[in-house]
Amino acid sequence: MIRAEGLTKRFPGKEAVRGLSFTAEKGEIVGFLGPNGAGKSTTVKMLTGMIQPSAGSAVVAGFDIVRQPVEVKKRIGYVPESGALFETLTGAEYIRFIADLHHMNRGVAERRAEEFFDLFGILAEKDQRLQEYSKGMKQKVLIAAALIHDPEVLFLDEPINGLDVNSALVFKEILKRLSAGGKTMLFCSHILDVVEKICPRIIIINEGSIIAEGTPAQIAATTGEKSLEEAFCRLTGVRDARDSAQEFLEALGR
Amino acid sequence: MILDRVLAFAGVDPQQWRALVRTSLSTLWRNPASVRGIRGGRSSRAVSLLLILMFYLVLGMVFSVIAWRGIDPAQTLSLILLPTSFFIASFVLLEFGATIISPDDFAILSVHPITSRTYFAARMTLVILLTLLIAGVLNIPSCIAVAFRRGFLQSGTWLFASACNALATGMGMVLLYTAALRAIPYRRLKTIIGYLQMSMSFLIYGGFGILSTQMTGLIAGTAGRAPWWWDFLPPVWFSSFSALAEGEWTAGHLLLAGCGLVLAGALIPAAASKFSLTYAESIARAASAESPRRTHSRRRRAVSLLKRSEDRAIALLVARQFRYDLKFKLTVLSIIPLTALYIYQGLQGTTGFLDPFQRSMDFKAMAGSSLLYIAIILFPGILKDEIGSSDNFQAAWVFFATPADRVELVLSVKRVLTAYFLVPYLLLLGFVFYYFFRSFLHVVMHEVVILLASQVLFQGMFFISPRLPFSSPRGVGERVTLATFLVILGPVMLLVMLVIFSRYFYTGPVPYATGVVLLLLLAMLVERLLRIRVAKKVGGLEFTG
Repeated sequence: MIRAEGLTKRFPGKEAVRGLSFTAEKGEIVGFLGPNGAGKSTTVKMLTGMIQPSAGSAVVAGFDIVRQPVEVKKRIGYVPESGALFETLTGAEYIRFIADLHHMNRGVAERRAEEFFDLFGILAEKDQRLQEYSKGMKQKVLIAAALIHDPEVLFLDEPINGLDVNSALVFKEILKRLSAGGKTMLFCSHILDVVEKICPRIIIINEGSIIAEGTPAQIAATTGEKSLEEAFCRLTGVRDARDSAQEFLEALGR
Repeated sequence: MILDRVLAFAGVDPQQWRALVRTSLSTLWRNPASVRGIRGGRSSRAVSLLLILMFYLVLGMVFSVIAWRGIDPAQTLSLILLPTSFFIASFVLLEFGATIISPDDFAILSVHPITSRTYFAARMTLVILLTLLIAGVLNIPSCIAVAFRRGFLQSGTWLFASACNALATGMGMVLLYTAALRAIPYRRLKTIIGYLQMSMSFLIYGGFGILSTQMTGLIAGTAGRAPWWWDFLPPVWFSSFSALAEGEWTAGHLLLAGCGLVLAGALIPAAASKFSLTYAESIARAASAESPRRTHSRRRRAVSLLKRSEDRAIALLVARQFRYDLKFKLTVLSIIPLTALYIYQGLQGTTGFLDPFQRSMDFKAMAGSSLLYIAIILFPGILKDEIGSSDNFQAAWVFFATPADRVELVLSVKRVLTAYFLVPYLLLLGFVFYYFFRSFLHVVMHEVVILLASQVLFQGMFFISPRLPFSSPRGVGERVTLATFLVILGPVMLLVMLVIFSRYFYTGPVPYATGVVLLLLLAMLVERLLRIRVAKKVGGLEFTG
């Protein structure tokens, strides 16, 4: 359902993504990890058709992201990292707005929106402006907006940011069931234990290139570390945390 | 080094002062850091600022011609200082209101060891720099012209008067702005800021009409005595310096010049007291104060009139933006008194609207009523531009991640504005026309032509600047340049079209039908070209933010 071949993105003076190739099959949740600036969001933006790749190709839900971006967008849902929303709209209006952009039937959209709001416990606030929502409530609206048109493929960029414990649990359960129902998901996050629990397969990228791929256990075993967290640190070149902390404190004392 | 010592002597921390001024200036010149948004989109803030300054320079050159040709130096200077004050007031407060008031300052700076005095010095420096920059660009060409025409004493006097006028205007407006804010509970301050901005934009758009009428008369020498209120305008007080330099030591000039000096001397320390972190705190509270409100779907029925889903989405956004975005709302509302003003001005001193089917329209006959026609283009034009930008611009990522057609989204703005703003305005205009024409058929026929002609011009505006709705940050100085473009170019084209139409196509049913078909074809052709242009312009945009 997601097939990337040599995906590359160059910005002036910087190659953000370098020849990325990977696949995510139908019903699979793939964890997409990497340190800040590794190229995760740029990759997702290319796969969602928001930006064009400088080289390489990708097929999402059976359509080419460069030649058929609109067909791709009809079949994907996206929860962006930025969390930006048109905040003069109410929660319900925002969902209706997104449904219109997807050319959805109004009745179906409103029924689904009610269910999502109820599920996330924000039904009572659905007619309040998004300006008045907390960060977590906005995140719930973004998730509902990504799911409202029942997409085949989901791109989730830090989707649990700001969610309370209960909502995060509900959301993780939803993802598992959606996956069982055949939805493909690319899950970007910095929270490794969440990724480890949700994603059977993980891709780690650093400086725009894939540096590891496999199950959490496979990745840990390949690096000779005990956990995914330690393997991630080793792979992405992060120095020993204790040494770094010591150096920082010494610098303060100088 | 000397500056550091002076600042330190005044109780200002030179390092902090430098950092604050540098940061404020870079904030003015750069786009916000988060505006990585849409690549291939709009020009940077620095470019628009430079364009504004170039626009002011051109105005300054026009003023220098007035300075060269003027007979009475004091009256000529007052003619130049009046619009200069007007531009300083509008530019500094309308476009840089947030810079001066800085609602974010308290949140950012209050945790740092900055004294109110240092904060004040930095803010004051910024305001002085801005006002003197604008005054310099507008007035220095005139001072140079006067140096050649009347000598260096007059030129120096003009320069001094310009500086005093600029500082007094800047400080006076800061005082006016802050006095209103201080008098109102902070929960309502935000609304007040909006209303003040509306008044300012009303002055900008409306001021062109009023000022141009007064200036034309005075330059042509047909005005005779200046109006009674003329001597109450502070720029006229500063202009009296010029009369004194000319040797006209009359009691009137001395009194006016004295008023000017007292005003400049009083305003600076008075305004200074407004620049403190405590004040910034109250503004910060105002900016963050929001009362939870529920909304109702009253507009749903109107919105559902639109068939395309892109149109419905944009109509919903525009309606909500109107209801809850104060800046957008007030821009729309400011058009109502403006329209009333233009109707009033348009009907002054003329016989009203002549039925173009009874007598061909010509520029002379239309001179009085042209302001009413100006409003036809001005009205949707202001809205079109306003809809392009929003404080919430980063939410425009949805236009890039959904299958919505971006060309249709841009054109949706045009359709929504036509359906909900242009057509109702033309209906209102229809009543005015009917009052004068007394022929329902003529009113309808004339309105059809106006609708088509204004559509073509409206399409032209989108052609010049196609923008995705609410997708860019509010720019600096845009309203001033847009107003100039809209007031001068758009209406002139509309008037030319109407005059041509009236002369050649209002002569009988067949010519009229031919003309309407031609206009329709033109509108269709422009629409096609517009689609190509919009596709080219927005098709390649990327959302990288």
